[in-house]
Amino acid sequence: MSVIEVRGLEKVYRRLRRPPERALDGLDLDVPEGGVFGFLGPNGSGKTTTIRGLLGLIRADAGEMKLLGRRVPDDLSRVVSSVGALVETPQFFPTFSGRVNLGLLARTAGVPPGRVDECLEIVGLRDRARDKYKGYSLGMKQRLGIAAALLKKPRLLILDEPSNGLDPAGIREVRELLKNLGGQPDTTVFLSSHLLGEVQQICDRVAILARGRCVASGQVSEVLASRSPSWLRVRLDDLASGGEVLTRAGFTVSQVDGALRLDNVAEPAAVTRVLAEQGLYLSELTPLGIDLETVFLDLTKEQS
Amino acid sequence: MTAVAPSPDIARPTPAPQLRRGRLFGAELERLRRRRLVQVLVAIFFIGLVAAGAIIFFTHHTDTAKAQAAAQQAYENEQRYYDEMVAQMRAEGAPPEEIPPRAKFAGRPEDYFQDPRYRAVDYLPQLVTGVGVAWALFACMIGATFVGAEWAHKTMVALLFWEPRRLRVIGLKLAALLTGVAVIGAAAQILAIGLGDLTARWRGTFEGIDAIKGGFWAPLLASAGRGVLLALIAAAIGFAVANLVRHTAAVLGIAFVYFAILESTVAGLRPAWQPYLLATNIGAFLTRGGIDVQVPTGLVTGSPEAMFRQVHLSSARGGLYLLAVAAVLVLISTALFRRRDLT
Repeated sequence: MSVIEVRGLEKVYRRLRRPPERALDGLDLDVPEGGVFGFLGPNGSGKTTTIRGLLGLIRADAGEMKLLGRRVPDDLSRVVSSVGALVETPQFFPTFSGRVNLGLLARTAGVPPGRVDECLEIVGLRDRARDKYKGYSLGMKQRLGIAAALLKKPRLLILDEPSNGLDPAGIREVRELLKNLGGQPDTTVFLSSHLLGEVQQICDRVAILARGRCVASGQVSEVLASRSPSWLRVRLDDLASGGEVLTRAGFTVSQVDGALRLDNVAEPAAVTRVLAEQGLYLSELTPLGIDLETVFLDLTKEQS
Repeated sequence: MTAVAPSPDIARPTPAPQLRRGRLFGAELERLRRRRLVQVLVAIFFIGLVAAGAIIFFTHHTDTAKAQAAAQQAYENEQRYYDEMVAQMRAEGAPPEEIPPRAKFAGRPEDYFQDPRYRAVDYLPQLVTGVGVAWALFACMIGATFVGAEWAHKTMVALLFWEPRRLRVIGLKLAALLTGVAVIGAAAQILAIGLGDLTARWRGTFEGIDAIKGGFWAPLLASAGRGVLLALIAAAIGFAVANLVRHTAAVLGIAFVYFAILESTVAGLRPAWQPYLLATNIGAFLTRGGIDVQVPTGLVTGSPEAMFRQVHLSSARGGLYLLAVAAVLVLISTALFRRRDLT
């Protein structure tokens, strides 16, 4: 079952004295249940617009959306109690304490008051719960936003840039928290982020957006593999001769940073053999893969 | 971040809590009660009310003999001045017909009497009306800041993650606001009547209340009720306009432009529109029996009766007009809120 289904979603922002801005251009998206799903895209690619559409904050011009099997925004009220969300910077009343802010939300939804302290504990804010929100650092505000999203014990947790403003230690701890959440049965974390290294470490699946369309999606390993196969870095004393020999043998060779780059190599041992037969001996042969950042930049550059 | 302690059951799915109207209403009342600016405004209002009550109490007393002596003294001073004036006029050769008669010039001793007592029959209705108008001003600000702060801090958006039915959200917010305004308004009127009653008992008189046709206390309570209703209308208008423009301060600006500039301009340029101005209708609503306004007939020459006609605005008509204005503004702001993209 998909916890999020989006089909042909379109949204154009029309504003006075400015040209219309197409935020979503026929977006299709499927987020399967369980695990952590990464939602990637450059600024203006439509990530936040998609999330706002799913949460009923904006109206799409065309297309349809489902959350936990229910059409939204029409049936959003029937599933909202199972969906926790943090969109961009969390917003609370500045003169209320963290606990009061969460308490008011908990009261709105009939969440037991004890859950407020549990969530403050989870995000490490229990000691500062009585402090006013306006005195919190950006990182603390972000953590309070995550605590608010957790209040409902959600089946689906939608987080838009949850690591904004966090220090490296905070980013690591949020990463652990999200991994833990994603590991819970029947819980799905939908994570929109710019931190591609983070996403690669904690997400099982990803979707990459560019100009309002989904340009790649699937398991992280599939996305990496589909975009570009592994390549080999080869070093030897005589790069020119080595390159000539390998090219004659049918390899795709290019010279990069004082080494040879061989693409689409099915059998690395063949490289050693071909060079040795010509009396050339390599000093390095390293199989290298590409990372999510490279795929992301390739895909989004193509689209633009 | 140093103390994150992920729990193994952080997100264990449980039966999702159902959103109920009563919960949201209770949370909104709590939010209204906890807002600092609301607390400050209510505190200022009640401090002002008690201070005004104290001033009224201490500036009245029941020592009428002293006041009568002062009146007699003032009368005698006027008599002396009259005598001096007449002597001077005669010395200057003024004809007798130019000299004013003594009774017309200096009046009687009772004309100089200023009753130092708090006369409940005159002052209590004024106090109740004044409290109603003052609370209406505060209620308008509270209504504006209640929803304006939600937009300023974007907590409205956060709330919609919990209750996406926008009509319900805005309806219950308004209901919570009106409940709070009504309760505080009623408490203020009770306090004002209590202070007035106390002042009349200790430093004044209830003389004359039995002679009023239609009674005294029932119309007074009705007037207090109209004051509370006016505050509800003002709060709803402040709320609706702030929700429309998404800014608290803008409401104050709009109110200033309307009352200080637009109404006086309209009254000067288009006096025939006077029955449709808010201030006129507020006056009609709060005045027992309503008010009369002079409206031009269109004739530019002739007697005043020909150039102006008198239009009676009943209290009920004034109230209905104000209610209609508030209802239209609430409907427009709610309709826009329902359709608006929240980015």
